[in-house]
Amino acid sequence: MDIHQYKIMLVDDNCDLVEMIAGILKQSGYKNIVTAGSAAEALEVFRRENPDMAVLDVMLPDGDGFRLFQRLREKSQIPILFLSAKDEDRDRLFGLGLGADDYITKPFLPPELVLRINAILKRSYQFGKEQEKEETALRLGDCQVMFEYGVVRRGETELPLTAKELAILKKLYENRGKIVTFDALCSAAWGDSYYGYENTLMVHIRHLREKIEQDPSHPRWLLTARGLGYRLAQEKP
Amino acid sequence: MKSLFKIICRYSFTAGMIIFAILLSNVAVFLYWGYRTIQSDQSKNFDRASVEEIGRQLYPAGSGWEITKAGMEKIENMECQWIMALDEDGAVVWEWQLPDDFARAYSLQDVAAFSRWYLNDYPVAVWKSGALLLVVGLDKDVIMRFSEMFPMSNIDGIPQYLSLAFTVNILLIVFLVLLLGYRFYKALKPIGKGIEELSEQKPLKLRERGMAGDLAGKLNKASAILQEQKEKLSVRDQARTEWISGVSHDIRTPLALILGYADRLKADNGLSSEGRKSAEVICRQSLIIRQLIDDLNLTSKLAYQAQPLKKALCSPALILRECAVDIYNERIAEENQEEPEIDIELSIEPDMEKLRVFADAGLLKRALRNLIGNSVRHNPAGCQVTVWLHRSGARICWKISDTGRGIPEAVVQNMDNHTEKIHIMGLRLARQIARAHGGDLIFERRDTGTYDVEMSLPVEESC
Repeated sequence: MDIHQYKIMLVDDNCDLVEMIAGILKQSGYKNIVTAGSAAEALEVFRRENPDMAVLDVMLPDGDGFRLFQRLREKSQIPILFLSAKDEDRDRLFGLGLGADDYITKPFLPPELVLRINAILKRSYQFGKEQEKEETALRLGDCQVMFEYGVVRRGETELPLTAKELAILKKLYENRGKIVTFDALCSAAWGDSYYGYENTLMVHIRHLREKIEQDPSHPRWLLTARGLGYRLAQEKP
Repeated sequence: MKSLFKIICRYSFTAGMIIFAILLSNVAVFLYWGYRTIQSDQSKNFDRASVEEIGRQLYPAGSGWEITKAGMEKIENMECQWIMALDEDGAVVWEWQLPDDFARAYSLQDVAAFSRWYLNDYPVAVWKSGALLLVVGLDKDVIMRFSEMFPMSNIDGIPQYLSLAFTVNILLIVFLVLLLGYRFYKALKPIGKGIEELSEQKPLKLRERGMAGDLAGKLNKASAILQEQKEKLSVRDQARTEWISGVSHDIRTPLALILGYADRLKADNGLSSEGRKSAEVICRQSLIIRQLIDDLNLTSKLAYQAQPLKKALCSPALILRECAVDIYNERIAEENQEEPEIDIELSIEPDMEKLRVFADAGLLKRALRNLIGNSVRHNPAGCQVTVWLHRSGARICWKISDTGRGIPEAVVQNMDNHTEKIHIMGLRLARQIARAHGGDLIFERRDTGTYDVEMSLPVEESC
């Protein structure tokens, strides 16, 4: 099922904002969107429409979103995202602590909201399904990294990855396009007491390049951010 | 408390010196009096030499004795009432102004008596002059005659008695000074403690009794006033923090709308390229407002201690790397381009990698972000930012310099001036964060007149 088929319930007392978010979601392909302006209305809409996901404001005219979250959770396990003007750490931690799938602070960048909703829906409904295999295979030009099997496949040849190489590559893949610090990579491979592994990390990166790059001395995918860490480049459009 | 002890010591020393000075001055007055007495005796010409001279001026004439003219002058210059001269048998052989009721002949017993005492109430002075005994009668209203005997042992003991008296005096002085000093110290001790606690803004409740009871009462009153003011201030500070937090909360939803629609317009192909560009500007500025709201909120919370530091062991090198990576990653996400045009060069001293400090990593990252972000933002044409993480004595320092224009003099001058433009807020917030950790921002002047900035933190908090 295409994730855009899922029904999303938006709850916020500011109808302009609800309208705008609905517009953003519709523009990015979501067709089934229902809205509510208060906690009571949200419960009513939930009963009637049975949505697949909810986006809740924390401050509602007839009670707070955290309470609404708990009422919804009593009935269903649908993914819920908080969208709040409360930026305090304690509010965010409280919301996430209740078991929310994400917490976004207003004002937000629309693409960010869409990406997060996409990710939550995929994680909640399509994990372990047909797309999983595709997701766990990373395509880098003419080679494919099969995380599930720990191998790099290029044409007919298959090169095995060591556990450390796999951990490092996975970390880079999770943050694809972004720079990942030495510290985060070392910590992914060796745990928290990673101090002193920087040189070893360089050796692993070299081996990785030999396996995934066509020309390891002029890498196209696994790029160095000098003095900071490494980055797995996005596929060029 | 040390200062109070010092005050008491000084007081004791001064008191001792004052008493000693009084004693000395007494001795001096006594000596002066003695000196003056001797002087005044001489001024009256009543001395052994004058009387002897008179004796020499007497000469036998016929059956009696006469005095020369010079002798007569001497007598007239001398302040005496009468004079008589006795021969060996006790008969008066010469007289001057001798009252009529006086005997004209004296036995040996008479002479022995008046030579040590009075003759008819007149104090007398007796001198032997050749064969004669000269008796001078003095003014009974002016001279007192005193004759006493002392055993030699008493006289010999005088130096001992004097030194004993002196020692007793000194000991008494020391004892009294110490006793009074101690009592003074005891009375002032609670006052000193009170002042110390007052300076630490602790509430006071001193006992209002004894020598310093009045002072204690006034201190208690001052403390009550201070406490009241402190409470009022804290209520006001809290109200202000809550107000700022409330406003920033209320701004977020409208700003979300502005940002959301601007973002949509930015990509709206129905709009002219100029329209899309305007939407992009609105978008970018909205993000700046978002940053300002965050900064404003944090700055007010830090200023009124409404935000406790979440301190934990963290690595200064890691904080710096993550901060640089965040800036890069945001540029990549925002511009949707692969290569950001900024260049952040990190120069981390090798010993910094192992170092851990006890600090609020989130806030330090925020401060560094503001500092590095300033370099990036104010050099839109691009520049190289270098951050040098090093140790300088007991401090760790992040020195941020760039190949761009640097921080203008006006900004550095206005760091403490609260009336000017708002775009210093990021820098101020960084300084607030550094100061909340016991550190500071230091501005270093370049040859061009602009400044580089360095954030430093005390390293004693590290482990």
